[in-house]
Amino acid sequence: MAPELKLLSLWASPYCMRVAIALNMKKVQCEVIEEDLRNKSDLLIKLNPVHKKVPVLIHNGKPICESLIIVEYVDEVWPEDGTRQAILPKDAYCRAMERFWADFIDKKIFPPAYFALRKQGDEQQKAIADFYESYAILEGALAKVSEKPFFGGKKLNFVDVILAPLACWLLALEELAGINVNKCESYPRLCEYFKAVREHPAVANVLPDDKKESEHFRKLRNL
Amino acid sequence: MAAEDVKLLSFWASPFAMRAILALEAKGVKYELIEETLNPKSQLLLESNPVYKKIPVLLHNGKAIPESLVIVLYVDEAWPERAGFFPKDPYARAMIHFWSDFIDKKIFEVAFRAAKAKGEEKEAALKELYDNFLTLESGFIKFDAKPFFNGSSIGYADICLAPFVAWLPIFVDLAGIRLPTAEEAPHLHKFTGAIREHPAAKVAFPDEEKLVAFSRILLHRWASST
Repeated sequence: MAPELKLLSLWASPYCMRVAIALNMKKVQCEVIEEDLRNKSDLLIKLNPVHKKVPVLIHNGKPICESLIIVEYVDEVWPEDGTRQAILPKDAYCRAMERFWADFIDKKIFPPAYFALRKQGDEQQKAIADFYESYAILEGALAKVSEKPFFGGKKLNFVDVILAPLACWLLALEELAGINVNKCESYPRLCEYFKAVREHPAVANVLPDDKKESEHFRKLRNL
Repeated sequence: MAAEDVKLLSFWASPFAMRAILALEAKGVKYELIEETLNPKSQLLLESNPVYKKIPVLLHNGKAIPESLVIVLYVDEAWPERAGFFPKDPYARAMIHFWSDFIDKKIFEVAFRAAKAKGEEKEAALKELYDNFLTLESGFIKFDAKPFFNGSSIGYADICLAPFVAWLPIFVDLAGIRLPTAEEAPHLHKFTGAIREHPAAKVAFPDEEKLVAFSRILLHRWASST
């Protein structure tokens, strides 16, 4: 029987990893179709004509784009029952706080990290400064969560799904941008966070090897 | 039932604050509007939104919710019994999120970029915005907007877009922004007409003359800072 779920993906993309983590948490099977972004498939262009980007989740033939939107969709279609957990909580205020931090991570952590990896000179320096500023704010937010080690306490929540893929960029950030956030004195909670999140069953098989990710960015920088 | 304490830290000209007001008005929620001067920022604002220090911030029974779209979603979920902002079907909901994200990134951001830019950069942004409006028209068509994405009442995507209509005179007259014609984008034009008449917009949208005067200052400030 053909799978009802497909994911147009790129192995190196943290945005695609978010979707894979969410699907793991829901224990849902999905066919992953690897895209070559220098030669985008007709399927990708047809299903995401506006942005032409991965990830695209295809559920029963219908496409859903944008990682945060896909994760909320997955959470709604496969709600909590005996076998699977909820990603977002029920309480409206808690949902708002998780969306706020997910949005912060999406706007203030990943883009500066990406530019720190891709850019040179002044542009890179600005991206590095922005990244450190946001990372400190994130450490402050995680420090307020009393249960360790995740934003969801002992379990992963929406914020964790959005943040976790950063784990595979940490080596690249150090090697290519000199960003060292493994100083556990400066970022004690986030240090503990990234050690733990890599081991989480929903995340472990999703993250590519750190060295492979770093090599991927090294190649892009040299183009 | 305990009395609800709802306050909105706002600024009259801000399109993002307008989204929060539209949401509260559409739900019929009683709230206190606290107009911020922004220079200096109030202690309440700095404490309620320490990350961004920006309006709007919704304060519901003392709990602070910042970021306009997070606020709109919260208002929909905290008062679920009235005037829902989304369709029931999860796929349709995801599409509403898609179009709202599009409106935020491809309409608002590009329009502000076009307004601030000069020369070639401005022309490129204006062209991009024009094309994005045609794309948005296709979104209206997919949802069979009558005239709103949410049907006859306003919903999440409509609230996201609506403040652009309040700022339209500024964008068109002062920033040179060109909208597709009514022939090219009939749904968009029906939307702009309908939203101006909506009771929530009568509260949320500022006086046009006041807004134009304010934006002249803003545009002048942007132009002289480059």
